[in-house]
Amino acid sequence: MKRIAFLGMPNTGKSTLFNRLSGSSARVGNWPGITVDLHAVKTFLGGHMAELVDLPGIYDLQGLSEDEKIVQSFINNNKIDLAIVVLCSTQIERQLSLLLQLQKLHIPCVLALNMYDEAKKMGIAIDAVLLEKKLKTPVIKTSAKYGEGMVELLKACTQVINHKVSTPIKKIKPLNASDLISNEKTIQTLIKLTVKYPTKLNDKNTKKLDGLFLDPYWGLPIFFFIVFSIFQFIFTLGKPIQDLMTQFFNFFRLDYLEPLFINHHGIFESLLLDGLYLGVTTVAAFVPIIILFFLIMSVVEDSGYFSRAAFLMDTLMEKIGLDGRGFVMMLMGFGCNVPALMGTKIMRTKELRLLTMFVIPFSLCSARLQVFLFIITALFSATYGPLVLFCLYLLSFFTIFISALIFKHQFKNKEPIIIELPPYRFPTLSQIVKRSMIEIEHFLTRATKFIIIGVLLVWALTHFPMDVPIASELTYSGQLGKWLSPIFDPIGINEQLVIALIFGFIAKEIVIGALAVIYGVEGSALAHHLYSNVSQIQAISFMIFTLIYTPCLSTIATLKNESKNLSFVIYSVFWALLLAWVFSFIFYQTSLYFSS
Amino acid sequence: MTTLLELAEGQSGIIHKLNMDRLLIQRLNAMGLRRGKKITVLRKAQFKGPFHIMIDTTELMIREHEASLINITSAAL
Repeated sequence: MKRIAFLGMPNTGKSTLFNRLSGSSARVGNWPGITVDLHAVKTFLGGHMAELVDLPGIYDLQGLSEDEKIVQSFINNNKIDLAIVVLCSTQIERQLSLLLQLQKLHIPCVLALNMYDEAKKMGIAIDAVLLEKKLKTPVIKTSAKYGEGMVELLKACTQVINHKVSTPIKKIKPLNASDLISNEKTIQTLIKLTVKYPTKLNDKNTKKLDGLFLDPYWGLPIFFFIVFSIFQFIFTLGKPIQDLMTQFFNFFRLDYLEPLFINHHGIFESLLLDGLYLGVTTVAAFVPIIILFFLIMSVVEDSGYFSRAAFLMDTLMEKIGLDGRGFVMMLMGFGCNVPALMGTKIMRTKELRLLTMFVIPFSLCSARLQVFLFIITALFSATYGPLVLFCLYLLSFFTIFISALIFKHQFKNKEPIIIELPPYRFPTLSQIVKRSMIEIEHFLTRATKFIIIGVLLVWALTHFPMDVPIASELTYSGQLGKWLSPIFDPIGINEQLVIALIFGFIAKEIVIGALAVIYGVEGSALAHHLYSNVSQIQAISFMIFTLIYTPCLSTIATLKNESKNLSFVIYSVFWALLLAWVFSFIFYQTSLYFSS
Repeated sequence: MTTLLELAEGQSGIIHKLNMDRLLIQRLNAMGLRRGKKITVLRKAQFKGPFHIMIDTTELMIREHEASLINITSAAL
């Protein structure tokens, strides 16, 4: 088996090239020394089975950033038979350094001058034949976006892997100052010989668009308008699809699954339907939102606008230890936390990404909104209802900012924030679709098990012991509620509501359903029951707690997948619980004091 | 000797020295910031926000702190 690694700087279209060559079958794999997900695919090349691996985009082989460490560890721990070095043709001058560093390690390379179409448009001409001779490495002009040069690239790769290499590959060593200078000299000579620049470089479109998008006065309003439109598009389109799916799942359960158990009522039926089936449908409910989210977000990301958003929001975000991209993801969290957390992938500094993931779960997502709307309509007049909801949104923002401020030193960003502002580009449809498919597969393979186990756990808590009514005070959840009452009494949350909170751990959508089971009434009867049994102060305290304590099992599963760090997840869940209790306590006790 | 901080929007200078440790210099080199290169400030965000700079065909966003570490000499216009 031959191992072929894709290496290149960020924004060179490396992953697009990888997708071109790998088809749609890329999988996430495991390698020695690597803890993050790398996409890889096995294919047949030049008479060998070959494994193509897409390594993260890096600027330098030596550096200390997260991605650079991943690449270093990959190179030091895995035998690489060929490195396909991808560079952006218009920036060849600064990007050749990576190739030279790899050649020093005796790794066989093929150089792909990608985005050659852009270079041509700008009037930059590269003499690939001469460059190939000078570098002693095959050089192929490609445009991964349009599929140009792929055949030639594969041919070159085949030749290299069939060529016997005798020099063993070296481990990465730090460069000294003289290495740097000699590399620099080599590059300058090569560029002078092989690259022709036009007298005046022009990328008028990018200049014009930046003039608009980064305008000191219009930049921000345009930014908010764009984010708002994306938000509306994803979630107004996603909601009916999600509702349809829920209807279908209910219909399927009532008409097909329940009749199967007509003669076997009892614990087995309940385990399958209220446990397993609920778990599977909980996972499935996220599929349309995640697909839509990445369809749109990959356009935003690949177009280059995301870096502009970072520029626009940086002044404010720097103060709370985040950056502009984190701000966009946080706003997206108000639709659904799960894709927002997955979207933080674009931030390549670990601390920055962790801090962003730490605050996203406080965004008041649409599932929590449903719960609040039901409770508010049940307990508040049309005059005060909207005000209560507005305050909950304010509280959500406040929690985000306060958490970021408190923890920004904990997740201190050690790397300088220098972000490339690439030219504006239109991604192709296949690029966008492929990205969404990869993300959804990622979510399903990683989160399903975790979510189903969680659902089963809650099911057991609320259904055992077997001889008592479901979700009653006599079940384990009820006993837990009673046991926790010293904690929940001071914030006005009674045992029944605690059981609802335990259900709410799975997903906020089922809190109302859980209340219906707990109180034994549904719909408007439930609203009436709440009205006469729960005071307004208690209800607000309950909503504050619901807003902050934990979004849902899927969010926690995603936190774990994306951070690959269980203690981070525990830390963040614990902080959320603590903060939820403190805010509810402050609200409940002061309200009681003033109302008495 | 001035730093990048002193350049106004639209002004250019020649990079003279990067005042930082070697790894960071290597990173900045790879991003196109190298000694002897012409650097142009395209725009500065308001309220001491980041700089939008250009070196050859590369455009970058850089914060004030990093900008203060880049020494420049004036460019022949």
